[in-house]
Amino acid sequence: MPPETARPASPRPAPADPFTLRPARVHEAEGRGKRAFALFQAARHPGPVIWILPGHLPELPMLRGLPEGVGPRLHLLRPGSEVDLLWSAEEALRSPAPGLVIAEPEKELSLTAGRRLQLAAEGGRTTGLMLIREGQGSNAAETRWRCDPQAAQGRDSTPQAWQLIKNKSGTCQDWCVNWNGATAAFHMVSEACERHKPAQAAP
Amino acid sequence: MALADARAICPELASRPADLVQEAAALNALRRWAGRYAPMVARDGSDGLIADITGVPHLFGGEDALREDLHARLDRAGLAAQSGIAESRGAAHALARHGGGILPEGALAKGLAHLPVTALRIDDGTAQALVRMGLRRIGDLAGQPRAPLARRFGPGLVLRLDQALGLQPEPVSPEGEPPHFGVRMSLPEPIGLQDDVMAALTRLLERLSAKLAAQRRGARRLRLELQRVDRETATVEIGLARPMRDPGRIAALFARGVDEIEAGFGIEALRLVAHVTEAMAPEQIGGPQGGPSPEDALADLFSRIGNRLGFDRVLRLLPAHSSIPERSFLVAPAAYSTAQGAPPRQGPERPLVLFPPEPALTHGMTRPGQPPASFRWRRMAFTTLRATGPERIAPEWWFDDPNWRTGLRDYWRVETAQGPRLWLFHTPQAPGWQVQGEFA
Amino acid sequence: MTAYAELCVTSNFTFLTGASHPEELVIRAAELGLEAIAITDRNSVAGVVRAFSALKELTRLRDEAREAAGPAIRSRRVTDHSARQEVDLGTTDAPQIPPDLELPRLVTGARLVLADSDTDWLALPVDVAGWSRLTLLLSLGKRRAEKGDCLLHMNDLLEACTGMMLIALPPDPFATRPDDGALRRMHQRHPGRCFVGAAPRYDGRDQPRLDRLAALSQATGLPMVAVGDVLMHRAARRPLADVLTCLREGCTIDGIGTRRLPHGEHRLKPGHEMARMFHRYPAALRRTTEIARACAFRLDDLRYQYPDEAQDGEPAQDRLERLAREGLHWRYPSGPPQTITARVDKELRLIDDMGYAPYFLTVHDIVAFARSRGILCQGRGSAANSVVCYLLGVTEVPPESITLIFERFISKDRGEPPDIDVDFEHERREEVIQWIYDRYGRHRAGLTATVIHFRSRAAIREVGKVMGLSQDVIARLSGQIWGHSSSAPDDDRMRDAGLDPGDDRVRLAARLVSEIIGFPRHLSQHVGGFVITQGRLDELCPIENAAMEDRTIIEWDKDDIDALGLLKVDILALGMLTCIRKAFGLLADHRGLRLDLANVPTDDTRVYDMLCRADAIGVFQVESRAQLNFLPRMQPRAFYDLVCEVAIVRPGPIQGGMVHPFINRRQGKEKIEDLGPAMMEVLGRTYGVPLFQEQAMQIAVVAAGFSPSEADRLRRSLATFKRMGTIGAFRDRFVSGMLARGHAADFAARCFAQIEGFGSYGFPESHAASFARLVYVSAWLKCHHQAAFTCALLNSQPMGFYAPAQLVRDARDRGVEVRAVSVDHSSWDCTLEARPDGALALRLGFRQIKGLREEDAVWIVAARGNGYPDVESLWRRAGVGPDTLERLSEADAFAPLGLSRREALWQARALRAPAPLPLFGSDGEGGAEPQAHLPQMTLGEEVIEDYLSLRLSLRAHPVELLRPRLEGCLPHSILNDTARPVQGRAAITGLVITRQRPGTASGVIFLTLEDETGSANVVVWTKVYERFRKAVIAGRLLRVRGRLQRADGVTHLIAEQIEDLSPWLSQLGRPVVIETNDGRADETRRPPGGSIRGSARHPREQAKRLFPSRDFH
Repeated sequence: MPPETARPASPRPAPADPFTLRPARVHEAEGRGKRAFALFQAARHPGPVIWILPGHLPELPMLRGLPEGVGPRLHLLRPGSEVDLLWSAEEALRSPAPGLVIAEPEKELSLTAGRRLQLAAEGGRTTGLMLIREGQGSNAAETRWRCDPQAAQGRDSTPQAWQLIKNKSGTCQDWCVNWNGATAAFHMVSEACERHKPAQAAP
Repeated sequence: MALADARAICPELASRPADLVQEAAALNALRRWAGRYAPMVARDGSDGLIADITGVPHLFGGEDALREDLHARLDRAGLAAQSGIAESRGAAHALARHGGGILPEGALAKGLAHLPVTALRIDDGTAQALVRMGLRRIGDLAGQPRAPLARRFGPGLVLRLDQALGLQPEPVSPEGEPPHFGVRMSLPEPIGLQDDVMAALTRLLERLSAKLAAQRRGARRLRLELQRVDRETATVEIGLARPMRDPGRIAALFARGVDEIEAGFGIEALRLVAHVTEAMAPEQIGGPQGGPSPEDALADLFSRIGNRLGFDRVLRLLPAHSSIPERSFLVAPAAYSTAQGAPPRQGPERPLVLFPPEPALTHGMTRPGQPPASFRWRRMAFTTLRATGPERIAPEWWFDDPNWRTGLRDYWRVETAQGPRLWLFHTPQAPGWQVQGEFA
Repeated sequence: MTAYAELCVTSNFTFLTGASHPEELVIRAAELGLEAIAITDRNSVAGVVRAFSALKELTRLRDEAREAAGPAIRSRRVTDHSARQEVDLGTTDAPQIPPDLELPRLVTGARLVLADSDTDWLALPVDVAGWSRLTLLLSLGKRRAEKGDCLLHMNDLLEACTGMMLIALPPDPFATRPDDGALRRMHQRHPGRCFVGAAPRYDGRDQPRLDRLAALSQATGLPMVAVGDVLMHRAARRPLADVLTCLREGCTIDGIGTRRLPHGEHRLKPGHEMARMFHRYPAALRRTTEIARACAFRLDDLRYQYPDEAQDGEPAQDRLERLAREGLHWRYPSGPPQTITARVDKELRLIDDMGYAPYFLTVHDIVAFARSRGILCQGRGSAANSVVCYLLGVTEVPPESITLIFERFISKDRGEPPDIDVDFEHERREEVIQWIYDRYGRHRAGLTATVIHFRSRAAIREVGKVMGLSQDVIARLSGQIWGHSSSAPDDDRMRDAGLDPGDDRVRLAARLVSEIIGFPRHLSQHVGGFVITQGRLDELCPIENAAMEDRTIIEWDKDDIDALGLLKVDILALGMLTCIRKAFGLLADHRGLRLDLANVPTDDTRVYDMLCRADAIGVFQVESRAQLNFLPRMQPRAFYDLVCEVAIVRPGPIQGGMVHPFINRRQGKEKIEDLGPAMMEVLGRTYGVPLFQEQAMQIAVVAAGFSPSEADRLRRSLATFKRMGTIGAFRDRFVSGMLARGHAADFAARCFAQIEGFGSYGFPESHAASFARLVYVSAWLKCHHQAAFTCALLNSQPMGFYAPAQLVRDARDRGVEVRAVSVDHSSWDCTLEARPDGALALRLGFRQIKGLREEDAVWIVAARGNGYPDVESLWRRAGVGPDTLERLSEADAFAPLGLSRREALWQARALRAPAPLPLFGSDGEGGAEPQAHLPQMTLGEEVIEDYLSLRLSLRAHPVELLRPRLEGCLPHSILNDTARPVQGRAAITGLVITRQRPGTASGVIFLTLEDETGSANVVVWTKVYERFRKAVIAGRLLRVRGRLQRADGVTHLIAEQIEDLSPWLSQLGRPVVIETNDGRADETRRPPGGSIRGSARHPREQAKRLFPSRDFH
């Protein structure tokens, strides 16, 4: 079987909810929960997913822990340098093949780099998501998200605080959702997320 | 004889598994080389060559000289060989395998008489049956009436006998060359501009692509050799994420490499070889709307990235069967693997991200059998809010994994008051807590 | 400590699954202080008796420790603290049982695995009735399935499971939804007896899992109970459990993947650990002990009822007494002696007291049936040690001729069941077996099982495969195992096989091999032990189908049956009885003699003369190499000498080092030591040396201070003691007992070694006497009727120690004319033909021809008429196929027709059509074929062809033909010539006939070589063996140089140099057939990676096929 046929037969369009990323644009996410957010997006985007992870990072996505259906579609690029990383991201965005390109640049994105990525995304009509360090984003990004896992109050809940902190074509907003890491489905806890719940003692 | 028996008799016996494919390839190479002795050379079984040297020997100064020349050359190449020259193919075959030599014309029957019947290219059963009758040598058979022989041993024996004795003709038929995917071009005027080189390359690619298409193959690796006027050769090699023979798409991948070539005083010849090829079905050139299909587009992307980063940096995740977390999946080059359905998400929960264990500093007392109430990890303080576990995983005892020398691990999913949900484990034999993953 | 009873334990009697012996589990449960342990194997109760015996042994140990009855008897390890420390380190010694230990109760049951549900059920009988229903249910499932399998459905359980505690083991609630319907139905049917078992899995989800199971329990009304789902007694068995999984699944350890055990938590656990796991459900833990207490059934509750064997209203005892009276008349036509009548009365009284009359009647009836069919049989065994058995015709040894110890017969206080084995002709035993099934019905009679254990060879092969050792390494490793060894390969062996013993993988493999040795692999049928009951046998024990058609077996083996006190009749097969019956038949036909076992003339000096000369090839028991050497030293002159002879060359006396003292004392070279009147009464008749099992037991009583019942338990429970590691305690006690009574330490140690040796191979005196009877009868036949004897031996093959070639040769040496196989004269069997001088000649039968079928032989004889004129006539008249004709040709069976081998073969080869053509001539026209010219065979070729086809030659001995090349080699006859003994060193050459490495002779190998003049004995010491290993193991024709050693008329050559001349053999006849082939012929059928020159054979390989030897271990 050629690798690409692992793509679902009939790609479902992403549901029109506040977390839908505008296609053919580059977006940014920061915070401790940015990878969870990226995988959440990966589950929502049909087609091959390309995750560009600096080669020296110890972290790897764990196949058995990925959202359903993402594993076979996921491709990892492990460039050895930041230059290669940006070049790969640009190449990937310019190609029409990927459904989503996730990249983890380690340095602040220069304005030029941001623009180039944005142009590439438009050229390839591919959506990109840059997982950036706090405050190292680029002005060219379409949206920027701040994502943090939240301590859960009850059992069996996996709350995430997702804040839209920059939006070129709309308003910013905060959400608190329960996303268990298994499917693309999520459960909205409240419109405005309450922070810093009182901690419970361990059982 | 079984190998183990042979070893019992001769413990020093060195043995290797037979590599039939390699052997056949080597024999084939030898066959092409043997073309110097005869126009018609064919393989003879899996360990021999047969050549029709009719009319050739005088070129070498006679049959003896030809045979000597052959052995001398083979000797120099470090090959041990046996050879025989005779009037019939069967006789030459028999002779070569039983001492070798040359049978002068008209001496077939006499020359073969002392050889065992097995030299006749007959099956084991027939040979055994003949020996049981006392018919051991070809000479014993040659004098027998043919009809009773045929009645008892089938027409095959008589045919083989007559072929060896030259009473039945048996021609040597040549074999076709295996396809070779290389094209070359000499230029009337040296060229130096990148566009010129690319134009020449495109023409070469078109020819190569036609060759590949005729054999239903696709290139996996290509090498472009550029011969400069100063006799220096520059080489550009590219890999492809999957077999391909579309000239346009391949040319695009060469662009970067060609760009880096020093043309010097100019390039006067080009040679393009697809040295690694794979079978490729004839359909699928181009996508539905004229542009490349999504599969091709992804392959192109990976070829481009692979040629710059290296194909070992373009990866995918494959499931593996192990309960050891870090061995429960493989990270494999995407160009050399196919995607596999992910394992069903059953059993205990697994984190989204896994990394080599990092110590969690617990500073002080921890309750036995329970995760620490607070700990520091990556220079941050965490307070345990809730923990589920333990999931006990013992090392794979038959496999010495240095990471698992500390013995079994008790894995816990720890929800911290700070938000992150972490995968911690405890090793009772070397007490300590480690963080190895992070959940959504 | 938290009270806990483990109710779900899979022992290794769930084959290839459980990783601990039942004994280990019970011992561990005791160490952990569990309140009870259940053994619940998968659809089986095969392991429960082992556990039961183990617990009994623990109880004994504990009681012993408690009583502390005296320093001589008390086990050291219980009192001596430092010794216990030592024991801690060792692995073979006894478990440590402190005197105050509460032993666990044993709950017997089974885990019922259903074909139509993924919920398993633990069925734990509460009483005998429940047990019976369980065994009935298992029998039902097993009888409807293939061997070793069991097919049960939910509905069977609903019907059958009354009187049991039932614990449902639903599948993992996280994987599938449990079938609560089944639970409810079961609960409805068996209210108050059903539970839901909750087993932790240690996968991080145990608490939510327990919550879900608790919810299931709530919803269905079945209370939740904690179980451990135990697979092993300690976590250290995890590797072995994984290896077993690989064996079960047919994968290697590297391919086991997630099927392995992720951890070692499926082990027996103490109560407090379970309590921690179930801290939120303490009731589930408490319930385990409640259930265990409710299961009051113990295996010794089984009330076994033997068939009453009353006939026509005549009670068993009356019938037995009547038959015994009748026996007195026919056994002693002139009136029985006083001692006999008194003894009979005593025996009958005892039998009456014990109620064993039916047992004797059963044996009597079986023997009577066999007699009525003309099947020879003879009884032996402890209870056969009686006058009653002689009178019933079960045994043939007159009670006057041996000592019958009344206590050995049956003893009152032991309550031990009587034991009689009956040997039958091996070819006709099946008739007797089927008669027993018919008479009692399959629900009342079953064969006992034999547990097939992993032994070295299988362990190396299977574990090696799992551990990824290469095929040829495995072959070499296991090829070095000589016989049924039970030890793991040591470092030298591994180095020999090309393995590095320091390599981790190799070390692991070696450890696992030693661990798996002794593990049960599957159940097979016992050679012939029948258990018969009055009521239903399947209410006692599950009955399953055996691999053989028409056989049914129970799940327990003979030790288990012993432990439970069930009666067993052994219906055994003995090749010699077949042979004797056939010889009797031949003598009746040709000599008009009407012989049976009872009326063969006794005390014939010529027979003893012959045996003293060690002229005993073919004679029962004494024909083995060791016995042949022993005979001239023993110089048997009376029947009792034969009894001793049979008993002495056995593992028991050999291990006990009793052979030399015995023979020295018999020859008067050593004084018989006076051991005191009590001992001399026991040992007097055997020169103060214990030979027989009962003597060893009596020593335990008389000299070591055991009570009779203890001594007997020692013998009976040897197997259990060895498994439990408590044998050492007995040894201490035995030896110190004997020391205390003034016997030498060395003698005491040897006596004990002998008892250990007797455990598996012991011969009681009556046993030996029964065998000696057959020795005498077969020796008598050989002495007086060699032709008939050899003929019968050949017709009873395979049996005995020698191959047909040696038997035929022996007959010819003794002047019997042996005639070749002939299509005009032979039958399937070998026959006797009258010679003009009145002697009998032996005609070889078609059965000697390799590959010939009996059916063809019958047709050849039937269509023979006045003989066959040519090859084709056999084809036409007897309808024999071309293949068979070729086989006949190769056997030279057409010689009487004037056709040589090759001519006959040439003719046969022409007849290739599957059926004869109707009219003349194969080509229709009847035209004569042109003559072919086939070269004539040399003598060497003829001999080789003879061996190829018949495995013997009447023409010449191969060595005879090679003699010109064997300069300096002595013929064997000169070697053995006692008149002019050769001294010093000598070289001999001969074919290897037998190779022996007795387990008792510390690695020494005995070879028997044969040349045209006779045979010779070669002794190869270990050192020489190591040097010439290849020749010794693989050689067929050997030249041996060495030192001659002569003792008591037997000459041995102590090998110093050994040379393998096997290739010479193939130079005699056909040359090495195929030298090479062109590769074309077999290009397509060459196996991948297989041999390229498939047919090229090494001369040695050829010799191996031509001259097979019999290798004994």
